[in-house]
Amino acid sequence: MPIIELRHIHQSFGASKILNDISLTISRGGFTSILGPTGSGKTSLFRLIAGLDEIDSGEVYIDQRLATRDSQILLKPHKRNVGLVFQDIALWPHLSIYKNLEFPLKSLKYPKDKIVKRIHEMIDLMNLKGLDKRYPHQLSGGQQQLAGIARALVADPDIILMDEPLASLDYHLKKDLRKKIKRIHETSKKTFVYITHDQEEAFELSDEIIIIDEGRLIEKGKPEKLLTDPAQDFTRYYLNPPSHH
Amino acid sequence: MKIMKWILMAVLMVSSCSRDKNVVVVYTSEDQQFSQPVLKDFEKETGIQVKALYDTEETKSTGILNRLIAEKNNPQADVFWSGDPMRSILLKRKGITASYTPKNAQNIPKLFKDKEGHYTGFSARVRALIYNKNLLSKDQLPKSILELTDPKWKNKVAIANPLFGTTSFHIAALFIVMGDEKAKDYLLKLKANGLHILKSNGDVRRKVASGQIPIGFTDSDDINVALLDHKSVGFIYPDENGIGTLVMPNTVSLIKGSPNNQNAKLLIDYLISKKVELKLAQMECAQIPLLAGVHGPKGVLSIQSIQSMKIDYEAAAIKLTEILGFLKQWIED
Amino acid sequence: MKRHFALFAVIVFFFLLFGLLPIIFLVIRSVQEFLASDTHLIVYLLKKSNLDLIKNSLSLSLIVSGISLSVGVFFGTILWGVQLRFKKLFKLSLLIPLIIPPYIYSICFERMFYKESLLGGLLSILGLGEQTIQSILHGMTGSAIVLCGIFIPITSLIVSTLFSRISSSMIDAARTCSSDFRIMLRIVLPFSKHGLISIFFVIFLLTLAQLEIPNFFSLNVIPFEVLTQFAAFHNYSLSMMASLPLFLLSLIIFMMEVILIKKSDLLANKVKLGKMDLFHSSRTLFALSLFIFIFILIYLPIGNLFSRNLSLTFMVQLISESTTEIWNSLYLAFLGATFLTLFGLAMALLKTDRRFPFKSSIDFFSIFSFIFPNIILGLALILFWNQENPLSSFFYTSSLIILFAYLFHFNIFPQRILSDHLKQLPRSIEEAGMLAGAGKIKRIIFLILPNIKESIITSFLLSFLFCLGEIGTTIFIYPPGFQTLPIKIFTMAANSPEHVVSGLAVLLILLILIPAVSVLVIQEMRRKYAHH
Repeated sequence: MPIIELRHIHQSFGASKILNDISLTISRGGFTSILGPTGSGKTSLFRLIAGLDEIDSGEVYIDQRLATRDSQILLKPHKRNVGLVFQDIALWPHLSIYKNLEFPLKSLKYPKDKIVKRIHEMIDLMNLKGLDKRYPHQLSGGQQQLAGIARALVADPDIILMDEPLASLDYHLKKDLRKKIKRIHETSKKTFVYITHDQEEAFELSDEIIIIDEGRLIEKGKPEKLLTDPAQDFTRYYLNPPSHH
Repeated sequence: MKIMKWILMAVLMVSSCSRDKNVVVVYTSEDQQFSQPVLKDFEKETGIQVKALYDTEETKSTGILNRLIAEKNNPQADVFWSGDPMRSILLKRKGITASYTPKNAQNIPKLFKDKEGHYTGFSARVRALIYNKNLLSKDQLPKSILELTDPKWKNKVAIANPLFGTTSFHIAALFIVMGDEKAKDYLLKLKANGLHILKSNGDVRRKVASGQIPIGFTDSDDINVALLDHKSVGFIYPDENGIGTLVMPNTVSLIKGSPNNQNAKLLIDYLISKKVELKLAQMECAQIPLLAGVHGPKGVLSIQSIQSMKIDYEAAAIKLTEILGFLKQWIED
Repeated sequence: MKRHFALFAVIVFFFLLFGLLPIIFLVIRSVQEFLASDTHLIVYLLKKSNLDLIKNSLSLSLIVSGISLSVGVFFGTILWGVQLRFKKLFKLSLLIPLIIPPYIYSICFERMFYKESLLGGLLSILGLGEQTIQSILHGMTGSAIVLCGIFIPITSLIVSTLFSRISSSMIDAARTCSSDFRIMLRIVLPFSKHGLISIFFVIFLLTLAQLEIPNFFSLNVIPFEVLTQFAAFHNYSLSMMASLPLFLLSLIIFMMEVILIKKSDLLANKVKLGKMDLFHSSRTLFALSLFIFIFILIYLPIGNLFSRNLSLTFMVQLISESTTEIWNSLYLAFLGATFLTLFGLAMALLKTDRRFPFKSSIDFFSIFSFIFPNIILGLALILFWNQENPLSSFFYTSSLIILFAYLFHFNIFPQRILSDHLKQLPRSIEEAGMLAGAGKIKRIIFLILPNIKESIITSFLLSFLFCLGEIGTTIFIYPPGFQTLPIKIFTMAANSPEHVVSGLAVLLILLILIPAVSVLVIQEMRRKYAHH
C-alpha cells in the first residue's frame, strides 16, 4: 500500500516546464531516494509532496487521501503529517533548540506533559543533551542539522522529507550523520523520502531509488537493480559516467 | 581627502552666480498672485531686476516678518510691501524701517499713512462678513457684528485664529473703538455662543462657501475670490451706522540700511501710483484705490462709500501686543 | 585609526556649519533672553494649555504609529508572503504617498470629500453631508487618518522587505506543523521584532514633529505652540522653550529604541529566497483589502486632484508661468540629493566601522537634526549666517543656505539606508581587499561602493524627493527671487481659485513622478536585460 502516490503531475514556472507527467508511488516504511542532476526537478517534487506548492495538473495522494488536485491544495501542509529537513537547516534563529522543538508540538496542540517528554526523547535520541537552552547559532553545523532532524521528527510524522540534508556538511560529519539517519529509519519504521544528487548517499541509504531528469521520471527500482541492470540508457550513463572507466 | 576638495570645488562652482547690481529686493506679505504681476510690470518698465520673497497670511507670515527682524543687523531687503499696516508698524517700532515719503503720498488720506513716513498705504481691503446664500436669506443677515452673540447665531459663526494676520488687526481695532472691557466681554460672549475658530481667513471662506458654516469674518479679497469661483456666497460690510468697517490698506516701507536704496525708492514711488492701484482693483482681490481721484472698475467699492472705522492704526498695533496673551488664553479655554 | 577621526572631524565640522553652531548660538541667546524675562520655565511648561498640547502630541503619535504599524504588518505580510497578481503595481502605488509632500496630500484628502467629487457625492447620498464629515475629521480623527494614509504605505513596504530577510525554508519547515496565522505570530513577527520596534519609533518621531497636517485639521500640537510663540508673539526664546517638551520626548523615544534594540547580529544569516504562498485560501480577500486601501487613500484623493477642470492649455500656461520655480526646485533637489548621499555615506561608513569608538553618536546626530523644529532651524541659520562679512553673506544670499538646511534636516535617511546595507555586507569583501594591499579609500571606492549601488541610488532618489517637497525651512531662508515650486503652491494656496492650486499641485506631482517612474522603468529594463 503506497503512502505517497503522484498521478500525472505537470508543473511549470513561467514558460519553463519543471515537471512533466510524473507518476509514481512510494511505499510505506521504506527509504526512498530521489536522485537526479541539479535542476532535474527534485526539489519541486519535495515541495509538492509537502503541499508547499501548487501544481498545474495532476493529483497527489498522501496516505490514500487526495491531497492536491491540479492547482488546488486540498490538504494543507500541516495536515499531511510530514516532517521536513533542509540543506540550509532552517532552524528558527530567534528560538532556543528547546523552543524550536516545542513549536511543532504546541502548534499541533500536544498536551503539556507530553510536550516535555517528547522533546527530551528527541534530545536524547540526537545526542543534544545540555544544548537545549542554546540558540542555533551557538551550535556546530553538525549539531544544527541534528537539531533540524529532531525538529522534523518531534511531532511523530508518518513521512520524513529530506532535501539534501548533508550537502553543506564536511566529509566526516556527512558519514556520521548518514549512519545516524539510517539508524533512525530502522528504529522508527517511518517513511523516508530523501532528495539528493549524491549517488553514494542514495545507494548507501535507500531501499528504493527514483531517478529523474529534466522533469521526467526516468526509472525506479532497487539500488542493486539500477546499478547492474538499468532499464534506461540515461540511468546507466548517469550512474556510471564513461570517465570513471 | 581628495573627495573633500572636489566637494568644495563643486560648491563654489554651483554657487558662483553673478550678482546683479541693478536690483531691488522686496519682501512682501501681499498674496503672490496679486503682488507678482505688479512687480513684473515694474521690472519691465524700469529694467530693474526685482528679487522678491513672497509670503502669505495662510502661513501666518512667519517667514518674512521674522526674517526682517532677524536680519536687522545686516539688512538684505530694500522694500517691505505689507498686506496690512500692523506689520509695518511693528517693524517701525523695532527700528527696522526708515522714513521715506513717496511722490504721491500727499494724495493718500492721512488715516492710511505714517506721520513720520515709515509706511505709506495704498490699495485697501476691508474686513467683512461672508455668508452662504443657501443657508441665509437677506433679511436674516446681521447689521452689526455685535448681533452675533445672540443665541440665534449659536454655532453658526466662524473667525480665523485671532493671533495672526488681519484677524489680529481687526480684534485690536475693536479693542480701540469699544474699549478693553467691552471688547473682552464681546469676545467671551462670542466664544460662549459656539464660535468656530479656524486656521485662516481662507479657511473661513472655504467653510462658508461649502456650507459647513453659515457666516464668518473674513477679508474682502477672500470674498471676491469666492465670488469669482462661482460660489453661492454673499457679503456684508457690517456696522455701517455704528463703529464702522475696518479698512486695511497695503503698506509699503523702506528698510533702514537697505542695500539698494535708490531702486527701493523707485519701487515705492511706483507702488503708490494710479496705475498700480487700478491694477490691484482689477485683479481678483478687487482692492479699493486710496489715491484721490482714482476709481476702480465697476463692482469695486470706492473708499468714500465706506463708513470706515476711525482708529489710529499705531494705537491698534500697540494694543495688539498688549492683548495677545489674552487672545491666546481666549482660544485655548 | 587616524582616518576615522579625520572623517569624523569633517562630519562634525559640517554639522557645526549646517546647523549645530547656529543652534548653539541661538540657544545661548534665548536662554539669556529667557532669564532676563519674568517667565518661569517650569510654570510655563506646566501650564494646562501646554500639558494639553503634550497630551495631544503624544496621543496622536501613539495612535498613528500604532495603527500604521499594525496595518503595515498586515499589508506587509500580503506583499511578502501571499501570492498576488499585480503585486508590482500595488508596490508602486504604495510609493506614491511617500513622494507627495504632506501638505499637498492634505489638500488632496480634504478635497476628496467635497460634494463634487466621487466619494463626497457618494457619502452625501448616504446622508453624510460635507458638514458632518468635516466635523468628524476635525482635530484628532482627520490628522490621524491623513498621517496613517501617509505612513501605512511606506510601513507596508518596509515590513515586507523586513520579512523577506527570513529564509523561505524556515517558513516551509513551520508550514508542515502549523497554521499560517500561528507562523506569523510565533515565527515571523518575533523574528522581525527589532525591525518592527524601530519602525514604530521612527513613525512616532515623525508624527511628533508634524506641524502641517495637525494644523490643517486644527489640532493643537507642540510644534504649533512653537510656531505661535514665534509668529504671533515674535518671542524667540519662548519659542525655543516651547520646543523643549518635543526634544525631551524625542530623546526618550530615542533612548528606548537604543535600549530595546540591542545588537542583533545573530539574525544576519544567509537568506534563502523562495516562493512564498501563505494564506492561500484568503488571498482574494487580502488582495481586495489592499486594493480598497490603495483606492481610497491614494488613488481617490490624488486622482480627484487631476480631474479638476485641468485643461491642457491651462496646464501649459501654468508650466510656462512656473518654469523658474521648476528649475529652482530641480536644481536644489539635485544638489541636495547629491550632497546628502555623500554625507550620508560618510556617516554610514563611520557608523559601521567596528573600530570607531563614537558609533552611536552618528545616530544621535541624525535624529537630533531630524527632529529639530524647522522654524527654529531657519531662525538659527539666519541669525548665524547673515553677518557682514563676505564669506557668510556669500552663503546667506545664495541658495547654499537652503542646502545647509537640507543636509542638516534629512541626513538620517541616506545614513540609515546606507549603514543598514553596509552592515549586511560580508566582512570578507573588505578583508580580501586588505590582503590585496588596497588602501582604505581604494577599498571603499572599488569594493564597497559597487556592492551597495542599489542603496546609493535609493538614498539619492529618496533625498531628491524629500528636498523637492520641503517647505518648512525653505520658506524661511530661501534667498529673494529664488522661489521653489512647493513654496509657490504654499503661498498661492491662500487666495487662488481651486483649479490653480490643483493645477500647481498636479505639476509638482508630475515633476516628482516622472523621474521616479523613469528610474523604476530603467531598473526594470536593466533587470530584464541582465536575465537574457
